[in-house]
Amino acid sequence: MTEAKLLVQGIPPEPLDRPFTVIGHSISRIDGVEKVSGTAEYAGDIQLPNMLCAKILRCPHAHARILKIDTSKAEALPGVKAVISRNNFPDWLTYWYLIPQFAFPEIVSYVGQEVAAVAAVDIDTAERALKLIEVDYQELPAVFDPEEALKPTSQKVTPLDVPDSTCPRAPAAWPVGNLYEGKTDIHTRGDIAKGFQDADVVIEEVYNTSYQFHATLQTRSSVIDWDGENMTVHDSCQGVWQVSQDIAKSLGLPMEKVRVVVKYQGGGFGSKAGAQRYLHYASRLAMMAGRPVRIELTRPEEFISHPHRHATKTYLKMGVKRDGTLTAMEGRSILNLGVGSTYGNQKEKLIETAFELYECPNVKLEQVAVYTNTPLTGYMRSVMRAIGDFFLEAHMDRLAVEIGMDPLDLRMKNYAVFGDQVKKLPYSAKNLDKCMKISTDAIDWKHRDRFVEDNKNGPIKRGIGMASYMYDGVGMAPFKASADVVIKRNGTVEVLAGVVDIGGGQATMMAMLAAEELGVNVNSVKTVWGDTGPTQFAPGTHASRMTAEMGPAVVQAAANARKKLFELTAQRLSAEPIELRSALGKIQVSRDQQRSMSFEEACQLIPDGEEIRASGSRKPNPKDIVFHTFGSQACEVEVNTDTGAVRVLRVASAHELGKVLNPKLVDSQHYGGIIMGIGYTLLEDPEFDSKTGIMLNPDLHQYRIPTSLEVPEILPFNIEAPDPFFAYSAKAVGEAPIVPVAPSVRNAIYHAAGIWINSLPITPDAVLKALGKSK
Amino acid sequence: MLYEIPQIEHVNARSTEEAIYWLSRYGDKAKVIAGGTDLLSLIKDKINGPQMPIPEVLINIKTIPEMDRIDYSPGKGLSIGATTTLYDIESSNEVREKFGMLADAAHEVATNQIRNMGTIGGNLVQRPWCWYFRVPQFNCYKKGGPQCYAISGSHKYYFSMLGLGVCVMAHPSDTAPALMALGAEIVVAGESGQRRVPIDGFFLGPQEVFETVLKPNEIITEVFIPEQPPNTRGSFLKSRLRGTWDFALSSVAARLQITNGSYDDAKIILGGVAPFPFRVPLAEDALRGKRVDEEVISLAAAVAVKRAHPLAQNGYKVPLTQNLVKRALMSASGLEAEV
Repeated sequence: MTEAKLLVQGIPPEPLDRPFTVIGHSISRIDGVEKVSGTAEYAGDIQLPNMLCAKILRCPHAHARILKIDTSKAEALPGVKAVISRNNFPDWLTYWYLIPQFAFPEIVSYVGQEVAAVAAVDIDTAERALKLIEVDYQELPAVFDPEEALKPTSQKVTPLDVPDSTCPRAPAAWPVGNLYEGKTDIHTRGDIAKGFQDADVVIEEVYNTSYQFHATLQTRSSVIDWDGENMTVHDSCQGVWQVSQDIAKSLGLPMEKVRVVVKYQGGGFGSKAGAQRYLHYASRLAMMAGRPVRIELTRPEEFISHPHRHATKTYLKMGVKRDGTLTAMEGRSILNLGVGSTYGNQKEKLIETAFELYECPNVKLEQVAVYTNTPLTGYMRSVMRAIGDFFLEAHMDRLAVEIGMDPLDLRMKNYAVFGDQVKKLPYSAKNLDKCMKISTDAIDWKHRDRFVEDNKNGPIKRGIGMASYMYDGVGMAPFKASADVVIKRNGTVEVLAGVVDIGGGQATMMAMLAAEELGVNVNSVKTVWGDTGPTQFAPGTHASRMTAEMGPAVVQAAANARKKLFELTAQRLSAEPIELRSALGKIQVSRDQQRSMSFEEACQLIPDGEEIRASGSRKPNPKDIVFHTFGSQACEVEVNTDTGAVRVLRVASAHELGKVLNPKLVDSQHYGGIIMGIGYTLLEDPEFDSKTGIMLNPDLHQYRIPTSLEVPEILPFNIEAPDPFFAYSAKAVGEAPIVPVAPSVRNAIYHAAGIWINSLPITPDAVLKALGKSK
Repeated sequence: MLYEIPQIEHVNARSTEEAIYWLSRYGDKAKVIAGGTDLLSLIKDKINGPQMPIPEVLINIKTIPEMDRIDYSPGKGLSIGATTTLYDIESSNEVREKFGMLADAAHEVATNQIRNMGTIGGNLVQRPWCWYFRVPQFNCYKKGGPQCYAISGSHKYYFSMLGLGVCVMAHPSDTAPALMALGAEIVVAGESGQRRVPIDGFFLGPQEVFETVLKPNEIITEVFIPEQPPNTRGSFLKSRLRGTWDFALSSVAARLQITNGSYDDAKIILGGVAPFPFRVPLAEDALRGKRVDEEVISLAAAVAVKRAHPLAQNGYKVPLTQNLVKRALMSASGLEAEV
């Protein structure tokens, strides 16, 4: 690895100059035993003396003006310790990723929006108090469909987002009509009209995707402890520093007074990044009552109140020559933002894959984000990429079939070399071709017509499909990412990282990086994470950024700590520090390996009462290089044309990520992403009543996430390729494997049964309808 | 911690008489609880309406000793106590050997965990799984409210395709179609003693608020299935969205009597497509007296869905059900369906 390019502040560390001893091994995650044995303590398990319970009163209407709230009866109920509403906090702004949102606006804009909150001695009392709060609503017309909301005559939605030009994730301006910031986002190059003239075949389609909910195992829960001056938030979030920032700003406290702690995290998938609305109310109640407050959302509240993946509709038109050359692409994607979003961070992201993944000279893509009277939307595992890949990769297969070309050949024919096709900016690394080859070979793509004969008889049809993708998530400015490494006299090592292990094994990964750099066994390294107290500012664990952003910082911190230890050790070994090498707990002189001492012995040289402490910080990505990861999946499916049921039998998943730090952890991300993708593609069908906007399936029974029976055989392939900017080249994997699942399954359904389905989820009714068997 | 469950009084009944005593005494404040898999989720989700107050007292009948049993008397039939779990039914050798269709149907219910708790009695008297019924905001007809919201709303999955009545729920039970095909009797106890209700008369139509003839102070004590003639063959098939933990989009219980390659008798019951387990006599007639033959079966399957009158979003249930009927009949007839 070319150390000079490692993305760190200051001088990049010296190269290791020896084979890896820890990196590349399938080390089991260090928190695994606690989790499976049930001893791991989650935020909801915490009991503090005098703790109160909080409950939130939610609006029953999709759109209404609050004329009056009377909380006096609730306040008078014995056991009630604090009540908040717009009566006492009319202008309060809460923050989510520093995006300001109204806490208690006069106009409530979706079913389930918070109207008041109470803290009481127990949950029954809190529930009774909610019933005693009297609210006079003046109902207003509501709009749920984004295309309807775009019409000039549409009812205007009052979003929860408040524009703030200083926050890159917030809207910079108020909506015009219901259009986000009053404008759409357009990516364009070349000459569209000419491109379509040059085409031999032009295909137009409309693609719909549904909302997707995270359905985390752990329902959101927090315990807030306020001692009159300092606040400690025991949370289930994905980013302790981000929550600290948000809560401090919301409550007008200095950040150092708000400590956020996550001991274990029970699933987030993007939904627990930043301080969510419920936490602001509970924190405020703790301050008012002067007692600890516990809040836990019910499963229906989970569905209704936390921001989920957007529903979209895309009009897409593409032109291709008979030889497979793409000539033009024109598209318009409409996103349902609900009443608010982290959308500021996702502008252009939905259309970016279509803009970049294939070489096409003439492109115009428009992304249109619209507020409606539906719940909040926000981050979720590849939030935009999974949608953008669906319509692009679905359309690519359609074009291939229309011109009689193998879909894999069409993709290779239009392979894009540059990250920016106009400025010709290079990628830091791109091996998508290799990913496509490996994933398709794994399911014998070349002989994919082997099913044709069998498919002629009986209701069961088999087929194979594929899709490629790109993913970003490899370190984005302007986030700060720093880590510390501490070596103690007793020979133990701590990595201090202000991040959260959200179940992906991030703590294990950072311990491995530090162990490799220091030359110790991984079990002598402890990762201290999930606590703003002892750590420096670090990013939230989302956008697949942990390895790419914290990796270089941890490597730098550990290398700096090693340097300090070698300075202490060198004299004892009669050598210069630069001559020392360490591996697996042993420090040696490189030219005379007989001269050595154990890492523990070396640590004894640290002066009594002291420790070695060193820091590392990542620097932002350079601007003249495009950083992406790439991958491809191919799958085999079975379509039952009698029942409309689709089963995914096998998925071969190839992802390019630079370097595999821990194969077991990386493979787990393939499994998780594919399983979640199968839910998105075939099962998860959130339903809202079209008249009232009430969610009809806010539960894990009728909102169907996959069970083990839906899990296919999964063949993960991790493609390594040097990328000197990252820690040992290691880049992102977490979110990416969900991205191509929907298009590859959809394309395989065509291959099996000869039907194109352009809306997600692909449920039996859609299959039977496409087969012409029902209306 | 199940914080959502309110304070409820819980009474362990030691006998059927005691259970009925408490039920009569507490009136509509009380509900019977056995497995609780349906009742507790209704309470937790605060589902209530004029005709379904949230219970304040639960009368536990799992503590009645003779309620949990499977007794088979050769020549007479099978008697299953009402609190027998679905798991015990699906794993009983006698049920599997003599009444295999019921074992199959019990096995198709929900998940392992739910079948370990859920009982046969509860499976028959469970409330609708219509999503308007299962969220608290809609005061629908089945809660004692004025109207059905699903007809003009969203009705893709757990809804009737038969266009009958005020409410368009689809009856969710998997065991009910099998029991109906097997000609079961439901033994009901009330203040005035026991009555035996043939299962054909146990379920009510969609004009009624409640799904069964069970009165508020009555409980099911037993399900009885008569011995089947030796030439009986059966099949239960269920189609659903997910491999487990799902009610039927459509299900079929078929019971055939075949002698010398001809159908002596047939019973075909559809589940998941009507407000009650739906018998299709015309399809049965299409088999009776005919040779066992794929063409005959195809015709019967077509007849089975002839009365279908689907809603705007569930037209797919018609071909789905027709295909299921065909597959069930083929399987029960010992013919290999094309796979």
